[in-house]
Amino acid sequence: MTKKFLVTSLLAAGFPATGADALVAPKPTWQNQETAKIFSVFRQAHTYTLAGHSSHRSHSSHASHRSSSGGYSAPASPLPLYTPPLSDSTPPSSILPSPPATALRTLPGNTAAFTNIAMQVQAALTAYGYYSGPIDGIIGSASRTALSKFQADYSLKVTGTITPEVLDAMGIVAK
Amino acid sequence: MIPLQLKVQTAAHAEPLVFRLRNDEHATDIVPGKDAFLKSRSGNLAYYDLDGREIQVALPSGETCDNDVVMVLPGRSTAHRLIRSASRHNTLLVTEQCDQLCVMCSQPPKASHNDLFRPFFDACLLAPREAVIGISGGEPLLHKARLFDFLFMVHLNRPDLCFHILTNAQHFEEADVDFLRQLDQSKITWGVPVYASSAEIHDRIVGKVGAYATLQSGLTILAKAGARIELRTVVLRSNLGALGALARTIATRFPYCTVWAIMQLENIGYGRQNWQLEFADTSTDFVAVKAGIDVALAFGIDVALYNFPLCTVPSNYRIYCCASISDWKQKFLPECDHCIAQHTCCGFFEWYPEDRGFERVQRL
Amino acid sequence: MSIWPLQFRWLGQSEYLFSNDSGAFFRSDERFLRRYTEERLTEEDYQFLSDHDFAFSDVGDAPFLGHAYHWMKRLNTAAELNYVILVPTLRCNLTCDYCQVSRAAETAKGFDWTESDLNLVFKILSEVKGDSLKVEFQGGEPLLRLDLLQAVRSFVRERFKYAEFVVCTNLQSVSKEAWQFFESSDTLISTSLDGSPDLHRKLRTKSPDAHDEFLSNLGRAMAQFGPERVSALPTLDVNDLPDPAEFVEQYAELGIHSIFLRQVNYQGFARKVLHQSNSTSWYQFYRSVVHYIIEKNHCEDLAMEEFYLSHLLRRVIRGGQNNFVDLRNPNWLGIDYIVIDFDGKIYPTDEARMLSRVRHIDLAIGSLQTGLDQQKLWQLNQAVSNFDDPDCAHCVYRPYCGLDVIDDLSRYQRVDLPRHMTHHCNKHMTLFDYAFELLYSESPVVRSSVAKWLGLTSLPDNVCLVHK
Repeated sequence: MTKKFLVTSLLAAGFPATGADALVAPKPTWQNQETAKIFSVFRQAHTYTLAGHSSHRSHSSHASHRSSSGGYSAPASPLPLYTPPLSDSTPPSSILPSPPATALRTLPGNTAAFTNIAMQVQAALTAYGYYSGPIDGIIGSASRTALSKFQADYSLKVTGTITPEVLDAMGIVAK
Repeated sequence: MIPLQLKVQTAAHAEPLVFRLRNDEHATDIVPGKDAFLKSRSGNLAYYDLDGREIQVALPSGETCDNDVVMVLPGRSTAHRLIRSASRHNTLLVTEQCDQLCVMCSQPPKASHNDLFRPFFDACLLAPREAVIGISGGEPLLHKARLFDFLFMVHLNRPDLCFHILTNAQHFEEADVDFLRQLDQSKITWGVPVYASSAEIHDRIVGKVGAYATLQSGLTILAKAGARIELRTVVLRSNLGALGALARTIATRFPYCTVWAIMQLENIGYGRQNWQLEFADTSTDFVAVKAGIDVALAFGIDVALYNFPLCTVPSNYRIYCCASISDWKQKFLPECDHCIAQHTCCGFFEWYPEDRGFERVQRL
Repeated sequence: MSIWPLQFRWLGQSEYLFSNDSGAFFRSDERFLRRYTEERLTEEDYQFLSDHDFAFSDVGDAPFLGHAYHWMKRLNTAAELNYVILVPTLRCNLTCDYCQVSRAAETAKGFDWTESDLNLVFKILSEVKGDSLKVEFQGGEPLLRLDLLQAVRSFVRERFKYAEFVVCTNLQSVSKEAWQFFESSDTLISTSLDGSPDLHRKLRTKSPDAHDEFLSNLGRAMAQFGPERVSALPTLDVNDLPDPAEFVEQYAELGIHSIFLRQVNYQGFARKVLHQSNSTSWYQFYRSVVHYIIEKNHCEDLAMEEFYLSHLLRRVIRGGQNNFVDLRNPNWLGIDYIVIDFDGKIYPTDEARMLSRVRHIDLAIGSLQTGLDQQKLWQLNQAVSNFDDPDCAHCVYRPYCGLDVIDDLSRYQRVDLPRHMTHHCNKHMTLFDYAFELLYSESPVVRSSVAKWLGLTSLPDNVCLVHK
């Protein structure tokens, strides 16, 4: 026969009551966006082992001193570069309140803007009949082939990459 | 010294030519219109075919330049080796304009500006996988809008590339945080110089009143954007005594920086003019640098020593040294013969003045 | 200028220690305290506070952001599961007096994982989202089921990019296969080495032969794998403390330079007689050991340490250091690490497992079969943050400290006692007092050891601030 427990419940031990509305127990959540922002902004990576008490730190690669060889002397007129839309759209999901468990991850939102534009490019290529793959924002070989064909047909320089000219031709414009 | 420019001959062209040198005709990752294939060689003269355009290049001795990305400007007979595929040290000079006048500047500023962001964009798309590309000047953020466009477009096509951007952090605004957070900041390191935690000393060294105050707000903006920050401090007689205080300020006020790089002086540009005044021989007196390092480490700040030859650093601080001198301007001295640490040492700058430099240089 | 609120503690005579929420600290005197509380700070006061970023001018300015970052770094943000303690068997080949888990006899049946349990463990581990995992094997004596250890290790190595294993073993009986198992560099050994040979034998190994066998295994492990991969932790009887010098020398002779002073926690089989941990003699012993280590480090140019003191010093000066799970804030339970018992029950900590085993309180948070009980976890996690405690809120050591809900439960059956009445708080007040005493010491011998414990060659003068 199993003995009863000395302390019969968490409540008896002084933990707060759960209450009827605590049915869906969330992981601890942040109260406000600002705090979550700070966490997702500052990142740390330390690991520690007890045995031997040695700590392993993830070493960031050290960039070397940078300077150049000297100027490029000929004047060149600035060629158009695309101005990407600024984020007045939905903030990246990692900045919204979320269980702290995700707070340490690399922000997927950093590349949301890229994925967004890449998906628009793929959608346009599909609409014009050059591409039939998934619209997933990942520019793989199928996308590149489609881009090259598009560029050739539109008398653009064929590179297989998303150039400012490609975006202009597709009418994908800034905000 | 490794040449960064090659003599070329080709028919006239109106726009900058950016292309990649390919020795292997059977390569599978060809970019149409951008890859120039080696057709023949005669001595050090190599003949390439870029989609029908013939280009003659004088290759440097001992190098094949295979997969190098080069740029030829209209009316010129040189090709700039923008990205050397076999090197870890490739830097794009995006402007020669600058709003500061640092006493040790290795690239003294000029008034005019050539916008080459489009050729640079084309070049980056041809870079080897996971290449690290330096962005330098002058002050790159004087052309912030163009630079941001450039970064965004390159990352759109080549998310694997990393950038190391040198900037004095004088031109950031709150509004930039949003855009910066759209970039993949894990692929960018922002190298920001700070010379002292005293505004007076820092401003005097960079030749601009108010620089330190603006620098601080620039760093907070980078921090809010989640940027990786490499704080850089060149050791000078002017700031040597203030290194300990600077270390504490970094630990307290800029603890989010990824690394604090303490750097030795380079004998080029204004650095050469001011060498006598500013060179601090840390091989005979490492006390001030040690003070800075110890304080930073105490508070958990990562520290690195750039451009300090290993033999000039006390043995228990050598782990912070790294091979920081770009390969194209690196040399070793006669004393370095048979040194066991040569392969990990940064060596010396090509223009290091042996008669006025470190007193204590010896093989390990 | 806005000054971050300061907490303070009287250090004796007229000296006070001050700190703010980011963990920045300084020493000053009673007159400063009066000026601060009576709102008549001088120009020099403002200058000091401003120079060292105890104040800021505008929200979001550089000092503000530095403070925010330090504050953030002291928080233990809940991470994905990355650390599991696995108890594949409760059986043991020793009969230690103070065994806290009420182990089972070596030949007993029904105290090991079944095949189905093992598969459920694999299932839980395969659902882990991160790419790194630390696995600690406890028991009983884990080596009695080397087969289960091997199975888990293979699985984890394949599934995770970064994997690390710790085997908590009594090193009493190590087979050839077990030595082979230990050879991998990702596998660490953790064992017990009690106060003195006599004590170790009295409490654990019992017979001289068994003791010699243990010592020989320990020696071999140290020789083959070195102190980076082998830790030996003492459990000390406060009523029978060894001579500090002999104690330290025993470890030094084995090449072990990190000593973690732990008291026997009288639970488990030793609960028959409730021993009060005699604070005075314990802390006298503690200080003597640390003092001996400091002298020895100086004379012999070593870097020996008392592990927990070093840990506290690092928490004070640097923040972070949240991977030592006993001291962190908030000390989330059942989130980034769990304990899976021999019978498939899941607990938030090893001590929670022990308390439940001795029928003290049921702290199981689920089982392999039924999954985690989120509601119970939620309830437990209401009490894990020292931000919420009205006593901790005013404590000068709060930024470096943390709550230990399980320890409170084991001693007082309650978690809501005023802090100063708990062992955990008293212990940490004493230890932090000692840590700061050492930090502010002007003795070069002390400073030399403090520097070594912080991983430095010397302790710079401006690390610890004084305002006069």
